Amino acid sequence: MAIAPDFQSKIEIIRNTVDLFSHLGYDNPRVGVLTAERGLNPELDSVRDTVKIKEALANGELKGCSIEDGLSISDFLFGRDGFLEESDKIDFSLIPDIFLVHNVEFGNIFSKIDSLSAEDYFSGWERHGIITGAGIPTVVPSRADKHNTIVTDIALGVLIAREEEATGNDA
Amino acid sequence: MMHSFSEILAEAQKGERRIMVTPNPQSKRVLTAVNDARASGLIAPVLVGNRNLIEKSLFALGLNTEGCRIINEYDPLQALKKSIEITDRGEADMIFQGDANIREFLDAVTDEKSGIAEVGDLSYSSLFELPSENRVSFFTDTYIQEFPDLKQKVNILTNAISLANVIGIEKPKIAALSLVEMINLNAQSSLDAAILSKMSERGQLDAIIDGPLDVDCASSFERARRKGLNSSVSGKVDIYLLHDIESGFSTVEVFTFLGGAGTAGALMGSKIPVVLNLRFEPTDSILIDIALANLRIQEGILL
Repeated sequence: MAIAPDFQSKIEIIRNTVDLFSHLGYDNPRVGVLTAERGLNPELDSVRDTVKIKEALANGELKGCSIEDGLSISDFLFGRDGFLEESDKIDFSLIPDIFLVHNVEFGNIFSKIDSLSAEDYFSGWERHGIITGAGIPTVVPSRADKHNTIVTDIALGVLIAREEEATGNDA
Repeated sequence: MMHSFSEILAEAQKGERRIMVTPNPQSKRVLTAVNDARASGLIAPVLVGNRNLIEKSLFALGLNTEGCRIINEYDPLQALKKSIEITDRGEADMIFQGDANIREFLDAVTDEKSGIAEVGDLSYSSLFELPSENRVSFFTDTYIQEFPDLKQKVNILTNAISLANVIGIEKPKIAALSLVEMINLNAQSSLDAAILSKMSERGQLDAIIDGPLDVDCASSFERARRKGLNSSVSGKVDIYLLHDIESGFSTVEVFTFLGGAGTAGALMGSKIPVVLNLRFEPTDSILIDIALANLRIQEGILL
């Protein structure tokens, strides 16, 4: 939805997603912020925003989630300076529940990344999506989606609507 | 055409050994990679650093100094400097980052005096295998250029096309990725993609470029068809051009760590091959990086 969200929009995006996760039964989901920090440029906007997001969590502006240490998947998995030693030793419990991405260029790719190699690397991946923060849950399937995908997206919408009704909030 | 990492390695092994200089090799990862490349017949290693430490580290891994030339230098920064000087004098065919800090290493490589590379010319192409289709495919730029403008994207693509040529892909099919297949006047990626696509149509780049395409339309003929799109590259993409580093870097990380794809890659745009030691590549990919460097020399495809 947001092409290049600024810090404040990122906070809204996290809040919406944390709400969604709470409807799915996730208590205090772990948010991992993805940036292109790779030891070359500490001045990236994405890195600066991440620092501010952590501050927002610390001062209570952001609640109901935790923010993972680190700025990339390799950070989450191996710490600041670690390396992948052997491919089969990835501890998937270190993967966060929610990834916040810097912009829609990567968000769009990430959400469809299974299609780049559905048979070799991402078999069994399922993608579903829903727009929240618009008052009512809004299902906008991609034109490339198959029937079953759209049905599950709608199920997600129904579930959110039911939860929001029970709690008296707007989606 | 080489269809897999093992074919790339086998092809590189047909050529002669090349001299590869490495500053401060210390870690298991780096020493293993150097040793594997030597044992595979790809390189004659020149190791620059504390001789005692290097020998001790090698022995601790059950390796030895066979075939290695070691240049003793206690100071790590001096070792990096000396390694660059060795390549500048033409005494090495390629240089490996080893355990040098990435920033210090790239600064040294792009230092005006060294002449190995200019920052603006450099870009990184990442390769991944598609076993089910018996081919490999590229992402670029996944490491160097952060927010390239159109001119820089042309340069990034020129580099990637050269690398595709190295592994025998002539006139590669390129998808210039964006959010959707339509031109969105608010999305620079889609404007750039459209121009690049036109440039290839006019023969200004030696490739078949289509864009804007989203990953769905780019990667699958079937998905493109469901969107009513008929693209000459759908389902056959050799090179994916990513809009910026936020998408390039993270896409490779997702491939490696969530997909389990052992991506390899090459820093392109330098006068001699420069092999990097990047976190998103597993240790055994470094051997493929070195094989690609050998092939670049073999086929005379450098800057």
